[in-house]
Amino acid sequence: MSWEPKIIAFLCNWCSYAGADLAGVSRLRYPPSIRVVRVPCSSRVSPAMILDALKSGADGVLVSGCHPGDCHYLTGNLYARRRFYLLKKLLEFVGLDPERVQFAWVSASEGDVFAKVVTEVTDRIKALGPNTKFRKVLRVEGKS
Amino acid sequence: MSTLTEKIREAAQKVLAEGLAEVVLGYTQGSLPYRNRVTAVNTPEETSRLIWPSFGVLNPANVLHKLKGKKVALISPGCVSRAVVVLCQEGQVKRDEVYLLGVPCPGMLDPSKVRDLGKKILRVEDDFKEKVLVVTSEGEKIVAREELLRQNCLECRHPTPPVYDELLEGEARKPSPSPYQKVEEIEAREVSARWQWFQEAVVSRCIRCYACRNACPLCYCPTCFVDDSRPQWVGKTRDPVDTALYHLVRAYHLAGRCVDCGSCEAACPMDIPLRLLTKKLEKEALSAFSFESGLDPEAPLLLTTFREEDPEDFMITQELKALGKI
Repeated sequence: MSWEPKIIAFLCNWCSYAGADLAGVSRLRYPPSIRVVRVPCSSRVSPAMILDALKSGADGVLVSGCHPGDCHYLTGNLYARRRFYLLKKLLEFVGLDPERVQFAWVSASEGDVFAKVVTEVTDRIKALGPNTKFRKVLRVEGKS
Repeated sequence: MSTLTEKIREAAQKVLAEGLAEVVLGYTQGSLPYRNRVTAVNTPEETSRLIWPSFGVLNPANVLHKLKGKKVALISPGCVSRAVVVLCQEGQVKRDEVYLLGVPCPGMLDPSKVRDLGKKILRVEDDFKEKVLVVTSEGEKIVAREELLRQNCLECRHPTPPVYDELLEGEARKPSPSPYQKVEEIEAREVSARWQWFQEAVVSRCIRCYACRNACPLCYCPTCFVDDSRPQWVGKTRDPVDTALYHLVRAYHLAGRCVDCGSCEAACPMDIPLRLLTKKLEKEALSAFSFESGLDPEAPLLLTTFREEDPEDFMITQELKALGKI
């Protein structure tokens, strides 16, 4: 059996979660790699949550929110964009594979885009292989 | 011409006598020739203990929260003034409750660089311009100041405080022409080499004493995320992943706030290059958002504001759009 990555997808309640729902209702095909966490807004997602997901064994993280201008809270996604930009740069800087953490804008009407994003993210993480760098495993003191 | 120390004593005396502040936060000589300590001075008589330090490596703004309710004057080179400005922006300190005695900063010396000059350091004489005389148990040495400066002072962009109530006379260092050279050296490496650097220089050395957090003037949360137990973001063991997570989130929490005072690195017992992580974020904030921290107490913070044209080409949807896939 081929290895399927585990991807934690933080989806905003108002756009991307509905977009994922539409992908399902429209019977679009995409890899069964994502585990969805519904959040009120993409700006609800803090860097610690993303890193915690990787630490706890996820192979990748996808955060998706409304397009700029569509935010239910008017500007939440615009704050989030700044934060994610800086986080991505920091992760790249320390040499954590930048492809493992992905950000997207998916609206409630873009079921097809959601399916394509998940497919693309899954492919990229498959190419990287399992997350071994940033996963916490049980270790015995003195042994590596 | 009087020295900076004399000017500081005179100004501090005046501030206390005129009631502009109840306490003056400055530096006094520490127990070793290459140590200076942050000290609070309450009376005009005590001001004779104050000095302009060669080794003022810890940021006095860190003590402000312990002096809440009192009007405090700070001897402020660029980084101290900027830290206070960020604290004002974040509502931790009221601007009219602090009196900033600005000092054009000639840069501070790195205690570890001086310590390495001999077995026992007996005396350090600094002219605050070009040369430093170091008397060791083996003899005297005259060293160029530039060679002994702290790394963050070499990379400093604001030696003269941008905000002050009173600026003392003096000659500041010139702003660094290449503040991000060390960051760029790491950036130029391959992904795997960068990860190896992060593991070797940061993660494996760290003993998680949290001295970097405690020394930071801008880490003031009553409960730090590392002390949270539900959710427990950072485990209590020495697991390298927990340590890596701590350093990433610590640096990230200082994005757009860090004033590069170098207290974290000075406090670190393991010589971890902590500043590189914060400096990287400083560089990104400047290049992508033209933002510099601690310049204006009225300005919004980096992450509490946005622009419509902020970069978004790092997002996968924008990438796929550019490729024509969606």
